[in-house]
Amino acid sequence: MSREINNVYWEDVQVKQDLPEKSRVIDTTLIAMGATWATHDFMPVHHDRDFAQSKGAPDIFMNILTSNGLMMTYLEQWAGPQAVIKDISIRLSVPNFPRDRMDMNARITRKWEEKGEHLVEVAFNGDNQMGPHAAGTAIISLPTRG
Amino acid sequence: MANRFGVLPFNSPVEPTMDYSKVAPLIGIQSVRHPPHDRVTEVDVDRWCQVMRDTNPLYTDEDYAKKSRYGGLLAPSGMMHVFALGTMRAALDQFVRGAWEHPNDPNVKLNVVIEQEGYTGVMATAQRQQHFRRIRVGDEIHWTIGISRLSDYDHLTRQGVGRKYQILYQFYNQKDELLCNQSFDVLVYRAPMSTRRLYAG
Repeated sequence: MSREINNVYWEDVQVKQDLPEKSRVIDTTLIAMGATWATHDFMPVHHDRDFAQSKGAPDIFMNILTSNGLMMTYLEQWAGPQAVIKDISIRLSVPNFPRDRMDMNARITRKWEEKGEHLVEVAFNGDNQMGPHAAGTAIISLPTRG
Repeated sequence: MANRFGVLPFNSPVEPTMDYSKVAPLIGIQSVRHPPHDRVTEVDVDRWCQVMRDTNPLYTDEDYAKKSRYGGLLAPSGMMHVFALGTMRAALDQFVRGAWEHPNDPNVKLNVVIEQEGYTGVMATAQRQQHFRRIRVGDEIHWTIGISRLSDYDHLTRQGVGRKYQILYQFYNQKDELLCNQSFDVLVYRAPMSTRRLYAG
């Protein structure tokens, strides 16, 4: 399979640099398939609207594994396949419900070398119409041009 | 003393609170190591990548992955927790019939107590993954689980009056190599009480 592979190199990034923003429409299929099909989370609040409403939620809502997966994918798609996410912390606030849209953005907050690795710290956010859904930081090891 | 709405103020000394001595022995102990239900398969990875729209060739392109420093297909590191989750049958046993797959695990024993204490709502609030090694297609992910901390007082949250606790997962491959430490923060809450306390001001 031939395709263009883009890698971000450590020498080319700067602290305070913003990553390109991405958006993802949140619908019932993404929430239900994200929970059950992709992340094996069969808690019914993530795929059964009646069950979710019986628990007081207005609708099914995204599970944390899918939220984490979307944010890690956002970062990895930017950094390229030679990058490695070493450490990622994510906090959830307002839920992602069907008919939401999550806007993802991130900024490089630190850049350093450690034990032969070339690292950056990135602060990221995933916001929907109600406010912040997910926020956190990640430490990413980037390739170098050397 | 109740206010003019007949509601107890927050932190009332007469409010029934959880008996911490029932759960204190469960803190800081990891479970036995659990085997996986299955190996990591290309199908698992493909499903994840379709949902996440992940086109990383290390996960999706065998030729590329073979020529990489890894020598073969990987699974996204974010999938780590996926391999500790049970089958649909096990999940339904747990959520519908209350029959846990690993009843001796400290988190299960904790759940029994907190449900008895009236904390019926549950919500994941945060997660941290520290990745030490990549997951390879074909790996067998073994895991342990424990409770690293539990609040010894009630919090007033948007969901209700609740307790916060933190789960620690440790994931290993079939070579006994530590792949990942993952903390997982959970809020359990008494939803009806929150409404009462919000009115109490």
